[in-house]
Amino acid sequence: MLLDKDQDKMKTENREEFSLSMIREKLANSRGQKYWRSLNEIAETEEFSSWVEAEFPNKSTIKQVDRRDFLRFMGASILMASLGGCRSVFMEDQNFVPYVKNPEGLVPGNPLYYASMHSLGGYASGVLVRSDMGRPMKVDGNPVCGKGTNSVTQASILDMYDPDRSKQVLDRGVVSTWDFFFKAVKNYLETSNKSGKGVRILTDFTSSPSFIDLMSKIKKQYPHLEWISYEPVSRDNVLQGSQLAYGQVVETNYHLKHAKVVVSFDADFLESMPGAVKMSGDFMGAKKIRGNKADTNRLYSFECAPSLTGANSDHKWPVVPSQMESLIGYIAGLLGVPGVTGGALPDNVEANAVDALVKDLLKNKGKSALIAGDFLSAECHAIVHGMNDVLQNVGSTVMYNKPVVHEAEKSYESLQKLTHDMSNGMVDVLLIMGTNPVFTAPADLNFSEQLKKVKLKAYLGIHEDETSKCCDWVLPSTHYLETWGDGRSSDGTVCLAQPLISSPLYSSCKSKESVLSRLFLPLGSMKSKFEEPFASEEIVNNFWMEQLGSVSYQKNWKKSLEKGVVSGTSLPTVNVSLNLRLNVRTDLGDQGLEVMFRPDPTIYDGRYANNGWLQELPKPLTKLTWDNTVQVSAKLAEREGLKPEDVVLLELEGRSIEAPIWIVPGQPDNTVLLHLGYGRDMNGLVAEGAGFDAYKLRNSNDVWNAAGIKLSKTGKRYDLASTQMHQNMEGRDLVRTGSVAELSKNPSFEPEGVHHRKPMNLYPDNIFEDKGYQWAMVIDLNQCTGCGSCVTSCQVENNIPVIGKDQTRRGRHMHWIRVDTYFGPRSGEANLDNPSVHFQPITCMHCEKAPCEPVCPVGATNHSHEGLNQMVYNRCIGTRYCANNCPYKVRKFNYLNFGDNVDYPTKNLLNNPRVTVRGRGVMEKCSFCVQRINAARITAKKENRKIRDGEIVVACQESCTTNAIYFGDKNDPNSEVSKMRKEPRNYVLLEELNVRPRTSFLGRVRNPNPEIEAL
Amino acid sequence: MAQIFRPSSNTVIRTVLFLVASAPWALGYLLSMYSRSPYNTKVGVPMDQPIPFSHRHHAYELGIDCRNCHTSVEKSSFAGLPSTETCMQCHSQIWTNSPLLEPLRKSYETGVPIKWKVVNRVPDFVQFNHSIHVNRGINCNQCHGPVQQMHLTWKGNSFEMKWCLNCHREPEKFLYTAETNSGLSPREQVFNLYMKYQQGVPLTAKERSLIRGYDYSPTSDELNKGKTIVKKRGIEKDQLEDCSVCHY
Repeated sequence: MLLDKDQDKMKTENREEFSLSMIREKLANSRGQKYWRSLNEIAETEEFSSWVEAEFPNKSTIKQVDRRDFLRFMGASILMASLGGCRSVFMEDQNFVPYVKNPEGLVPGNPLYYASMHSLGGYASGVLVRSDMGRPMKVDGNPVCGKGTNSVTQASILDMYDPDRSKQVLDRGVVSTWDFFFKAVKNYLETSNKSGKGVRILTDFTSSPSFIDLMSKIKKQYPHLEWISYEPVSRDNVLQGSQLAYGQVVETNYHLKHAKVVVSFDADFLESMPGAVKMSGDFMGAKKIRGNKADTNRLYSFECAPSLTGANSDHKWPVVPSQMESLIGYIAGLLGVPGVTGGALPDNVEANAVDALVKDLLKNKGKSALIAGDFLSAECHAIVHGMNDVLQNVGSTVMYNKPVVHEAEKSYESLQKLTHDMSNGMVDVLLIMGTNPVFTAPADLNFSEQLKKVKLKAYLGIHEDETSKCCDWVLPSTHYLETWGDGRSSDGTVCLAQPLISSPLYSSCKSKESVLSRLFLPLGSMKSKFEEPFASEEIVNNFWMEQLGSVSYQKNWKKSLEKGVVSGTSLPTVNVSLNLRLNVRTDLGDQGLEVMFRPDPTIYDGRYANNGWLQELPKPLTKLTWDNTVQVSAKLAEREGLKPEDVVLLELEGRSIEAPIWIVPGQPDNTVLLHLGYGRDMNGLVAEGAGFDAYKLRNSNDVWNAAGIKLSKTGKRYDLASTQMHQNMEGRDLVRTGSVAELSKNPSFEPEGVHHRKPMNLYPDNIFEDKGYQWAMVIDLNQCTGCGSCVTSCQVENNIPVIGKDQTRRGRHMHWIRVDTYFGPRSGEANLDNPSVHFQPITCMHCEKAPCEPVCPVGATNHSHEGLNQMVYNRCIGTRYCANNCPYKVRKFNYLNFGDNVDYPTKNLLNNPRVTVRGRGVMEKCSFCVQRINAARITAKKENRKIRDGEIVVACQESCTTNAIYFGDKNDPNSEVSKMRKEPRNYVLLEELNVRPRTSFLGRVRNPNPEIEAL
Repeated sequence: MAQIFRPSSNTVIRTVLFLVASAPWALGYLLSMYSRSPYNTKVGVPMDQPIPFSHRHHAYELGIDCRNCHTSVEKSSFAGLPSTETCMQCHSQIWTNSPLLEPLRKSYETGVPIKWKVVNRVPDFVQFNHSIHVNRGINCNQCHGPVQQMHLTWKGNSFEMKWCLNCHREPEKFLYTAETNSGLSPREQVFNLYMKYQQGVPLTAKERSLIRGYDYSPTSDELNKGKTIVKKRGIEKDQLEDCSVCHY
């Protein structure tokens, strides 16, 4: 097409202009422009300006029309419009289908909430699921367990409705039944070996007490059967580190509520670590500032892979992975950790700064926490345990209990043993359940080749994927919202899972518990009141009846289910005594280029690759969607002459992959960061063609960090879809930050020289009566971590469509809330290699004098009496004038009937019935979750009272783990939101336009160590 | 040779030209008439149902309260349709052999629900909530027409936006409190009126109009009473007119 050619031409021109040295120069000379969003912005490339100038760049995807065609279309449009008025001409007959039996407790039309559990990597987190007439609709945090959820939990509901799910039992590709499968395995067990020798069960990580109990029962029946649990994102190192330090494997829990100083060694405790939801809530909660005085915590971060934690830190140093151990050893030496010798500082970390850090730590003994990342070596973890011990943090901010996930400390070791056994022909039956080793196992194990030597191999999974392709039997698995279960959170508290749907969406799906008990336990070994033997409900119920005792079970079980948690199940604290003897390796010689493998920020280890919501969620730091990249530092790119989207060849120990690069400011030099989980070869429309497979490079000796990777140019290019350039705000002071010291002097953080913005006004000041409820929102930038769970939550609640990579590249993404990422100076100086990072969630501001309203020719957007800028979809004719006139660029246009143009059977089940599904050619935007406002208003009116403060929780606010978003009635002086609006840090975006936004922001307060700032 | 065009041709041509020119308008007009006609809107057209259920028999002759079957009408957006089990409360005892009830018994045995045809429906972009209307004292028949007189149920009103706005703009025209039972809550007023009607208590003209669901222009006295009710119940008329009350 003509347009694509144009685009390519434009691209090639820019690529000549894009030069990192020029960017560096411009940054160094920059005065006015303090914050930047992308490298292209600094370089002022043509590509960038084309994005900024057009509201919807690349909008003309259809052929340009001449005048005659235009008139022809106009005529047709008028006719169609008049027919549109006769809507019932096209109204088809519909049926009402009432229940046969009324379900208990259901008021048709009203939602029901059930407590359940979502588990990731074996760690359970309690969730509260909204069900609408029997359909699970939205997953949110269970208030009993803590506020908020991450994006993965929010989006996990989509997997249940996934039309690409595995739906039937397949025997070597031929449709079969469960009975045939059970017979096949049982035949083997009866004829060849009654002790279970040669039978291996490979499952994902689990902390479920009932499942572990079930497996021990099975082991009693078949003593030689072996159970291996493996997941690619394991915590072997973490748990082995505690073994090194304390002589026993313990689970570490951090209580950051009262920690004054936190030091993170490549630990992303704000987003990806287990328990991050709670930790981010605690840590950011302690940052809460009222007035212009701050008694806040301080976060130092030494970081290998750029993460949200580094972005939210007060001091950050990029450190190459191989130098991490010696750095930690050096700090341990300063703190006087017994038994640790050696250690040195990397070049880019100043000794004075570390001295100041150590002084800060010693000042806050018992009130600090040092956290080592999941992907550092066991030695690093051991030393960090030692440091916490010396600083008397153990028992106050750092707690230990028994590990909750079954054998997580030796997951790679047992996988290696399994592969070894397979290659020796010792495995006859292998049941793989819920984990995908063919895709995720280290490449040198050659898992798929060894798997061929197994006689009977079966795979139970949600999708047909890489592993199922290598197995004889493909078995459909239930989704976690379709089955009963239990699991432990990291402190041991047991969460319960109950199904949200009366039977699995696809009837032949079974859970791993019921399959295993059906295979290995004698029939009738449980007293069954269920139609099907060994239903997951029966297994969980029976286990807890045994545990609680039948009297207590009768009394407490329903209550526990209601709460979602079995109370009193948290594991007792383990007493530890430090016993370290370590000599830190310091002189490693030239490591060459180092590579880091990390789980993806959105699709995790690849299991969510077919989840459109997560694929389209921009990754926090790069704002990339639909792909992973080879992330490199600016310096490396400069040396190698690389530009973003250049495809490079990566070689590591004889294996190689090709992938596009992306430059990430703040990444340590001489490193390459690869995110796992992309490049899937599975039966899934969404996952198809997204990204490249980084698992192919991994070695079993170090699965997370490896040295000696070779990078070479290929001359090819690959298009990436980043939303970073869409909707730019042209370097005005949109995000405001300041230090604690500045807070007392200039709490609004208003930059100097812009005091002339007292708005001029042509129109009367009060354009509508300020009475009744007046809705307003405040976003506290100091609390926002930038994780993006609000984006997904909004997408789930408001039926926002997924549009795909191509459309995202055209700037048409539909998210009603976005999180802008800004890079800024560090210690007052522009810095390309280690910039500060700031996040700012942006939604419709619901301006009181909204510029979008007067330009709409049909009045499709106008103001409600409660101060909402309302959008009437059925009136909208799609002129897009409103979006053109919106200074905040928050209006989204539905170009291609995104919500409705793919037909699949579960589509109608998935949509939230409380929100209209918008069609093609309609503008849409944040509505302040007006469906929730109306629901609350109706409830209040029925009870003859006013809406209480905090009664309306909007979707983005609901999912936020750190309480960064406030919503309420600004006319009520006692409401949280009106108090926040009176905070001295309160400011609105583009105040000089005098549009009077209802959404305001609170500036971000950093708390740098003054001694380090002074260096 | 005779002339081809006689003087009358002028008239013919003019008429044809006029007709051709006015054809688009005529077409538009016809279409709009068509779309508003009961043929299309189904207003007043009794609808065939799998079981010929009579509201007149159940609600008027037997005096069963609306809420017995439409259980959630006061509690949720959806009025609720009776489950097979609800029908069987009575029909497991009476009319147990009626051939008309065969689909009901079959549904009870097999567990497959009865598929009723939808009579009243708003478009997908309208969010209607029954509970708040009933709780504010809006009579069922105000929208649904004289249900207690319907054998086979028909649609009482077209549910066009213009028609909704009649009440959202001037609720005082439609709100009512019974003189004798003014202590009842607005919600109870609704069902009290049906009870009175069913028992044959004489009704006022306003009450009759509410029962019949027909247009009625209230007297100035009734209008003033309506206005006091609006004030008393704290109904915010401004807010009732906001788009986002129904469209979101």
